Amino acid sequence: MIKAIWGDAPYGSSFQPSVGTSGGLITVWNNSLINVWSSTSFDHVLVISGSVILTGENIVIINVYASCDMVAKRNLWERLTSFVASKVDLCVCLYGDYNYDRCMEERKGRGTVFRQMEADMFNTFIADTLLIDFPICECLFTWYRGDGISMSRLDRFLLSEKWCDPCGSTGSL
Amino acid sequence: MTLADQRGLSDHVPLVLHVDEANWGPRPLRMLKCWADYSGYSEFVHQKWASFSVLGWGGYVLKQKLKMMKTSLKEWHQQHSQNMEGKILLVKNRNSYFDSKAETNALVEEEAKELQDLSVNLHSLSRVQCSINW
Repeated sequence: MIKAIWGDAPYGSSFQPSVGTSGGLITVWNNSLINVWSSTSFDHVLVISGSVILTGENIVIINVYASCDMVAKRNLWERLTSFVASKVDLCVCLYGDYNYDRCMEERKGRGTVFRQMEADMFNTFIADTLLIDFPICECLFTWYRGDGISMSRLDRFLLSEKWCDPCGSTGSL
Repeated sequence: MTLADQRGLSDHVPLVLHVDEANWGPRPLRMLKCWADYSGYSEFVHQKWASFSVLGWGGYVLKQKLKMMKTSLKEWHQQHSQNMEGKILLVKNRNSYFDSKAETNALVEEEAKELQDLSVNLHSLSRVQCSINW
């Protein structure tokens, strides 16, 4: 299946099976560009560590699927905060479905209540990890219910400052 | 920069992150340094900024205000860049007047000062005249 999506480029992959219908994660990388030496997982998080072959820079790629449950989410943010803090001098890229948005402007819809507390939790997490959130181009939201009514910005990339350092540009993933 | 692709079977949109391009999306604001040379520019910005009222979280308010500022500055720029050629010609004429005067008589202190200001002014006007890519 990976080959069907990825094509002919050499690849390596790591995955975590789903629980029920959600939370399954897979990370695929180009073997000729990065050298991956370890892969770990916890909760709904899949981590690969390695280095960029061209520059020798150490990278940590964290694939996240956050649960919709608020308590589970709080635990996840806590765990990830200390995990990211331990990798502070590396190029860290955290991406995935965080299952919440940062503010009211990042959602649209009827019948769903925006919980400021949950957004605050997420914003605090981003602030504590010192990760940088990027603007999105081409559309405003990343999740559409499909009814033309409900939409939200659930997915995003968060990068550590090291990634954005012009001296250590790592290229696109 | 995060680039969204088209949604297929999933209810999520595929995202592509580009790290190597210095592309931060649309520019919320543009400024020409020479604007600051105009008297009244700084007051204009202060007044405009204070007059905008936007509700929401801090980042959103900042973004909206910058966008509104951009529109106001665009108008301001158009007003102040009108008849640039005429303005430049006036400065040039005054410049020539002092230049030829100085050929025969020493300029008094005020005149020398005005001549210096004229050349600063001319530079500034020429920069305003150049096209700005909004």
